[in-house]
Amino acid sequence: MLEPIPSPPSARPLAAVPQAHARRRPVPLGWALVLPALAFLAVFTYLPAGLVAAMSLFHWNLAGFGASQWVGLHHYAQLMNPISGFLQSLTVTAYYVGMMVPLSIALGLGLAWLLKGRGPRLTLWETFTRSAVFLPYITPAIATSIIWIFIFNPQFGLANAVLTALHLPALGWLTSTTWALPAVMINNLWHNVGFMVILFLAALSTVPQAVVEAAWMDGASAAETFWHVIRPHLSPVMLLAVILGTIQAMQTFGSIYQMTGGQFGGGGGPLNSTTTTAIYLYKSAFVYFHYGYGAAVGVVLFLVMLGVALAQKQIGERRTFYR
Amino acid sequence: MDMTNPAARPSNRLGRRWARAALMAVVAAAFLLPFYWAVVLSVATRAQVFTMPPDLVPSWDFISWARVFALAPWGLYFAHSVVITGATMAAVLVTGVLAGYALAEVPFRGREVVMGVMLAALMVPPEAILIPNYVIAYHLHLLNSLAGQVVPFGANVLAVFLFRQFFKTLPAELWDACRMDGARWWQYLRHIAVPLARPVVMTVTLLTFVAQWSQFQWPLIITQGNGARPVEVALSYLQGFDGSHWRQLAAASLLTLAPIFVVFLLTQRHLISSVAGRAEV
Amino acid sequence: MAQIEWDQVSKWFGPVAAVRDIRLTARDREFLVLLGPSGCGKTTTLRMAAGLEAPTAGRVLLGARDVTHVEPRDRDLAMVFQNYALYPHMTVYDNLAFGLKLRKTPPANIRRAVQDTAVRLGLESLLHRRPSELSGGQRQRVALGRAMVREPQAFLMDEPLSNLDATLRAETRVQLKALHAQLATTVVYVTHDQTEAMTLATRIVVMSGGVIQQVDTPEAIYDHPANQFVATFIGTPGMNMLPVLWTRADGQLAAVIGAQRLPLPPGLPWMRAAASSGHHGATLGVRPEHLRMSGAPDPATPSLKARIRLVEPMGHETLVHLDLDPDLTLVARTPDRWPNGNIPIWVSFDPRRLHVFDSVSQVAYEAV
Repeated sequence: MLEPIPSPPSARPLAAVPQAHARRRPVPLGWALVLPALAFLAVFTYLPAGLVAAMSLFHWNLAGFGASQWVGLHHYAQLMNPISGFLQSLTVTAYYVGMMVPLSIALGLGLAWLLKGRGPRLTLWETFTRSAVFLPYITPAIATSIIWIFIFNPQFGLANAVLTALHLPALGWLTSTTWALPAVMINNLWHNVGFMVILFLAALSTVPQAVVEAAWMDGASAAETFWHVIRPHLSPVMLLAVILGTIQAMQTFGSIYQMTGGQFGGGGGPLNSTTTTAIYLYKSAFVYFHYGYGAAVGVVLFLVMLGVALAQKQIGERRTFYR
Repeated sequence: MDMTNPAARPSNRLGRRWARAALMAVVAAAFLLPFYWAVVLSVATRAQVFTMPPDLVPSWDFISWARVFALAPWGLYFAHSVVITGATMAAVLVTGVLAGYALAEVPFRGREVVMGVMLAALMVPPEAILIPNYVIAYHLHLLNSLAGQVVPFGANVLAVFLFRQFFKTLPAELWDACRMDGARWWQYLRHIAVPLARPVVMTVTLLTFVAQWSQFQWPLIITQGNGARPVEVALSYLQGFDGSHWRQLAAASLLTLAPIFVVFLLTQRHLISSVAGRAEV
Repeated sequence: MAQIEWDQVSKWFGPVAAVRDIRLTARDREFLVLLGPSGCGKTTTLRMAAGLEAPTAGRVLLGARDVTHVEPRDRDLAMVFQNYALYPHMTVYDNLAFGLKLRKTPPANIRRAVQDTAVRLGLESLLHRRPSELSGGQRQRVALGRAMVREPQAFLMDEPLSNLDATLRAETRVQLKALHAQLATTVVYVTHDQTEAMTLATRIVVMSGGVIQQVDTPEAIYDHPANQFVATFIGTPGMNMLPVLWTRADGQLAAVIGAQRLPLPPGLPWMRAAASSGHHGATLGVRPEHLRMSGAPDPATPSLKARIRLVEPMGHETLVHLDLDPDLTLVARTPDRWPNGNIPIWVSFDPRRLHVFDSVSQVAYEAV
């Protein structure tokens, strides 16, 4: 009949007052504040994203649509023709990305393992080595690529000096169709691996020490501990590393351009052996001035990157361990 | 099978510590070697350059450094790069703070849509829209100008989200207290929210600095001649025209790297965590 | 004149009403306490006075001025927040000075005002510290100082003591009361702590479910609760509530409580209202301290038979939990010591101490 603490008949208990109530302000202010950012993005991201598709259907003239000639899917047909070299650029890109992503992840993980703090705080030596590994990542690719050009000089470079010291045959490096792309890879591995190291260091620091110690107590070896205990904790970051590594590798331009003679016709040599899709796109538009054709390359690149990212996400999420 | 507790065998443990320290030394040396060799080359005598094996002992001959300044108007290029980088940092901070604040603290109709639209911008690879961006820059008369190297980067979705994330952590009472003290929204931003967001301001500034100072492809295609050429493009041309003067080239490379080195030394820890945080968004 | 008036104010958050039809006036120089459980709408009521929240309906008046849609900065009120909301990157000095600076007060005046306030609150030695370097009590004083320094027309305080530990809370409560006497300014104070409400208030506003339940002086609220909610919410422990049926014997009214019958003397003030309600029963309320217990029945005073279920000795008093029936319990508060154990006991009380509530509307009959 009576509850111990009755509420008045008219009163409904209030669960909670909504959080956002504190911050209500006139409607237009929010729009006014996001407008500057949106305006920049609209002109230099959304608009070109639409424009690139439209341009690809024209023999584009810089004066605009009026001066351009409609060619329909002609550019795409050209892309598919082996003579255009586009398909070869995709192969080169696949080779480059296919090497760079696993290598940078393996090296990055290995270095992260080495540089992982062992004590309660980082030693000076650990901090220094971390900095050394990270520093290349923030350096401009042109400046460091010039140094790497010296290193890969067939006659006087450090690379061949090392090979000779190891009693290995000296290589032509940037003058060789076989070794030019690996030379670029070495440069970019050195340049970019610091990012992977940072990524994996952050991930390793989240592995609970108690779990690792429990594995030791159970008699697991270091390798077994890594494989069964630590690796599952790294899987979300691994997926991120694959996706970010792929995006970065597919868009690599400056280092390839500089190392493969960009100032003499846009790079990608010798004999197109380093012509990735990014280089191909650049040369189409800014060496041969076929803007419409270059736009078609851009559209394909866009779609390929989207497809690869989605596929990686699909595969990755099935294999990823989330806590 | 290795059943030993690592703590049980101190001698083994000590040995491993030394092995690890040595391995770290090798790694550090390998990663710093290119920079070191560039320094050696830039202060080498003529006889020292083209030798096999390369001479790794610096001889401190600064003639190349003197020549490199005669080779190109570096002061001009640096001025361009400084203006471009500085202006972009300012633009990214302003647009990032305003939009981040709105998305975190100002409810308005369509806010979720704006969020989605901004996220979508992250999906567009810059390489894919390079050509239409050039067309747009052409029509906006941005070719061959400093503005043309700033405006396309004037808003950064990452910066917007970093600020949004931070502003969301500020207690609502701070804004209430500010209002009671008589502040308007922009006074709250200027005196309270942005000063508190200093770590984020720092992160965004550093990431923008690194990105803009290294900017190459875009300025390469939109600049001609010395009118608006930044250092990296100038350096690229220098190598293209005169690839055989290693000593000057090494000096010039180090010249353009110097600001990065300085900033890195000053803000090392924050820079590294900025890059780490970048990956988490 | 620093009078704050809520004129038929309602506030809806989407489909939920936080407060409904509030009609209330905080009089000049009054210490008005809004008291109620969490979610009762007291904070929303306060925030609407501050201007931090706009009412969905109704008006807010400062003196004679309608400020319903006036921004907080143009209301000249100051607020103390539950978690203090100090500016973490500013020194104590700058925290106090911030509002004055925004109001373009001349620097010399700012310095003087901050100094005066600091002296008053004993903050002189802390002026160059940041909030993170202060203790909880010191932060609380800074929050108070930030409100005082502008000499506002009225203070609004949102549970300002709830983040302090018990000892400090008691001390600060006394200081606050002294401060109010000194400043002679209107204070509207939100709390869920009835001790704070009772000790500080000129008048208490008891709220529940977004509705005002009663507005009166602390004594009147305690002695004459308007309804069952107020009766049980105020007092620790709350008032005992006994559902009863009326019966009549020898022309005298009696209450049937469980299986027992309690005759009532004629002429009690609520009897007419109870009769005119037409209900067969009501709810009797009696405060724990008004229950008398004895080991044997006293033939002179009608009493109820009960058993001691549990005894909580508090030192200065004892709380005795009694079972009238398996599902009818009472709490008695007595200075005497009682042994624990399943002991039969007789409970009686002065019938004039009874509160009687309508069994449907739950409103006190004496208030009708």
